[in-house]
Amino acid sequence: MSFLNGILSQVQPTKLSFTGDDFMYILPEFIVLVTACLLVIVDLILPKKSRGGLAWLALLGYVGALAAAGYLYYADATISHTTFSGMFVRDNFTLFNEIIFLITGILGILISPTYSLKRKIPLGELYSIQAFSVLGMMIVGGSGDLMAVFVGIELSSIAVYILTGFARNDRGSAEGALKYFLLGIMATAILVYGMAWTFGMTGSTNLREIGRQIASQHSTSSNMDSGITFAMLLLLVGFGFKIAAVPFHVWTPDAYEGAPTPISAFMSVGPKAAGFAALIRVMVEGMPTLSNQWTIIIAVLAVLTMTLGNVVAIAQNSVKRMLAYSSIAHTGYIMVGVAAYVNSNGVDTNVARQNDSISSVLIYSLIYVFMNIGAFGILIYLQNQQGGAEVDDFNGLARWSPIAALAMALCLFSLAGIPPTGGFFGKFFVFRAAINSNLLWLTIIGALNSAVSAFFYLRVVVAMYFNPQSEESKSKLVPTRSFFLTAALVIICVAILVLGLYPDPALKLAQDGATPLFQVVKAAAGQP
Amino acid sequence: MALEQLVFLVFALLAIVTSLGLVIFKDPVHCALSLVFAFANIAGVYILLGAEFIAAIQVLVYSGAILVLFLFVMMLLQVRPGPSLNRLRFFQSGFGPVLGVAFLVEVVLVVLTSGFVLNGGNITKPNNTQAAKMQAGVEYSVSVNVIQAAGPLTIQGKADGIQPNTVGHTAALGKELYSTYLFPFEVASIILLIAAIGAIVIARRSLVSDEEEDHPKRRGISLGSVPAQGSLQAFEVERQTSQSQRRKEAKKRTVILKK
Amino acid sequence: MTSITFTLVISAIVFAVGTVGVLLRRNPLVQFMSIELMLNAVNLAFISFSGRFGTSEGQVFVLLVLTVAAAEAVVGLAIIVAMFRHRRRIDVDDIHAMQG
Repeated sequence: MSFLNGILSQVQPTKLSFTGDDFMYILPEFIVLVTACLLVIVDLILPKKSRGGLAWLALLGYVGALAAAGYLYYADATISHTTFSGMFVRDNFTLFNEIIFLITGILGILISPTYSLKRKIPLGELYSIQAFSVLGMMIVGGSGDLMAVFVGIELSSIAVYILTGFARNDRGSAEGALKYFLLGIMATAILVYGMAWTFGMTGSTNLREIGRQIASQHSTSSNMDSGITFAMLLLLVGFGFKIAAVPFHVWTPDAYEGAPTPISAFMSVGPKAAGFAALIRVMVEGMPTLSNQWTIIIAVLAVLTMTLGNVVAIAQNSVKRMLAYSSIAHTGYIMVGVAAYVNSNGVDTNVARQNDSISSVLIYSLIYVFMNIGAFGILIYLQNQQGGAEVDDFNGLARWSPIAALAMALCLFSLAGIPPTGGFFGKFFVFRAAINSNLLWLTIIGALNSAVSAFFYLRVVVAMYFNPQSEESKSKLVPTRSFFLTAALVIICVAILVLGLYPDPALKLAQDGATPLFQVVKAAAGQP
Repeated sequence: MALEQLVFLVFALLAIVTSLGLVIFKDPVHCALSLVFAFANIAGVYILLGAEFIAAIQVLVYSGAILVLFLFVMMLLQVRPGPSLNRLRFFQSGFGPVLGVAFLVEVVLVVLTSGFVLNGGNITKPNNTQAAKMQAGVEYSVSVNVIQAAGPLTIQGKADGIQPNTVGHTAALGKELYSTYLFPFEVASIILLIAAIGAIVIARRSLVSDEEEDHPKRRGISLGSVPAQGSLQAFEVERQTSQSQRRKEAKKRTVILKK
Repeated sequence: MTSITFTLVISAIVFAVGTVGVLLRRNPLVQFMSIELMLNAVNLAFISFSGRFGTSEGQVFVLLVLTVAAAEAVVGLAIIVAMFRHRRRIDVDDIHAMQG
């Protein structure tokens, strides 16, 4: 690994703030970057008919990046290395987030081709911008500095604004993109104002140094500085927009409904998980001493988010919009996991309990990627076959396509949190973390919400299995086969069942992923 | 009052007044011009705060590039003046200012009660910002040493090598940008790359003619009505062929001009 | 006069004016410009704080915000132009093809 270092030091004898090794540690990111650039170039060269090959190129890039991340983990399973003068951190939290984002990218590629070709969406640019978005998310996951958080979030968000407006001939797409864009950049302004205040109060943009500064200020005076509180609030509002928590969720349904369905699937999981990664990096690494304050805010927002998402989802007839509100509700469940981080008095040493909290967030995000993209995948399948996206369009799906109906039922059961599926364990871990942190009230509200959510998920299942298919939809049926979509759905169903029946390895990895954060927290508090 | 303070005050007040113009003017073009003034005045404040490079970039990028882009789009879209503010619905006209004022009061309270201001945080002394910065730099390096002693996790390359008196100078900033801050700098360049790709994809003329379009119902999203299709060019053709439409447009134009 | 309190208050006023602009105006172009103004207020805050610590961190952050603002302007205006293809008037109150 150090050979590059040697070459670099010969070429450039003056002081460099990074070495060749630094590039080793960002290898997965680098592979995704190269893939994204290659996709644009190859798209120009390839003749129109063989554009299908682009999907393979994109998949190759993502799998290569996964392999690189795996190699770095294999080389050192407790790696915690800071590169590029504190900008990027290679640790297991980074690794777990990379896995989430790369899987999102892979599934996002697999579900798009047939749908996009039918709607004349340019595939090369679609894959490329999606890859750039994944790159931004990976940078957020590994960020060690507010600057990296900012550019990473912006890279992934701007890419998703573009993707939302990709269906140029569709009025809904442009409208959804405009709403998403305006609210998104306003959130960015608020977020970066919070970063300015954080920098102003601590003198650094480095998260660990911020953590240390706040801890030392906290230890010298019992009152919290109003500037830091203000910064924290602004940051929470900014992240709230990015994860679509409730008072800041207004863009979500329109953006999801307007965007092409494969993009809705992608943006309902990727940017959300990236928002949570940023929230955890900034709050847990940068402001652990203030966790009393921010966890209570997140707990209240979680209640609002879960309740509104589930209640409004009941009233929806469009399945796409229903899934949009359901994704808001799932944000709420994940926020329960974040709220469970709560500290009773400044920094306490109960790392096991806090590890439960963060690892439950990580594993829920992973399971959510599979089940949500799965549900959207069947929706895409249906739209490919007959065009509609209403609940009524699912009538009789079990008759004419029993396997698709079974896959949809599996994803919806998982979203509702019914036992043999991964979704059950996701909710179980999150609620267990909340109970351990004495947040019984939050757990009860969460469980009630789960029960409500079962109603609208099962409504689709009932439509598929018990309602007859209408003559109109029979006449519209155009059989379409898509190898990629089938492959994606097979992967998703297997993953949901495996995570539901044997979640231990994933849980172990998530716990490893949460561990490095607490070493930082302990160091910030001056403990060994 | 010293001259520098006076200039500072003028820049600050003008920045506030012209940014208010952005909110108040009816015609978006006037708003944009007002914003150009606001940006220029903020650039003046930057110079007085010792950030010459940022001030230059502010004028070049914000006033020179971004605002011109805005004006081009306005020209392209022939935007019309919006309704005057007092004709807005109550929720719109009432909610915004109340929230804005509440926010402002909150921030001012934070600024006034925050610890660093109370503890003699008045660093940039009048008339002598450079010396003040030197002083601040000393304070900073001291606190960094304290931090480094506190824990095993030190940040390399950031704490050392910064000469307080060179901060703000373009060369020093460039050195920092290409060494310590290389990583976010490169990511920012990637952001510009995707913005270019994305803008081309979204804004270029549709390559598919209207006849080839799928029926709106088959597109999977239930829209309220059939969307109006067609690019700017298609619209131009339509306008030229339809005599009555053209007259209508001309009428509208004169109305705008009269306004 | 050039104390940090003063510049921070200016930054806060400009930020608040930008926020009011976003909430009050219905034209997406003007809303967009208001958000650019908010980003400028953020930059002013960064530069003030940067002067406080005598480091270049704040100024580098300003450069990043500037770059991102430029990228956002390009993408945003492209979206607005695309939107214009489907309708003659641009006004956020008219954006209601989707309800619920």
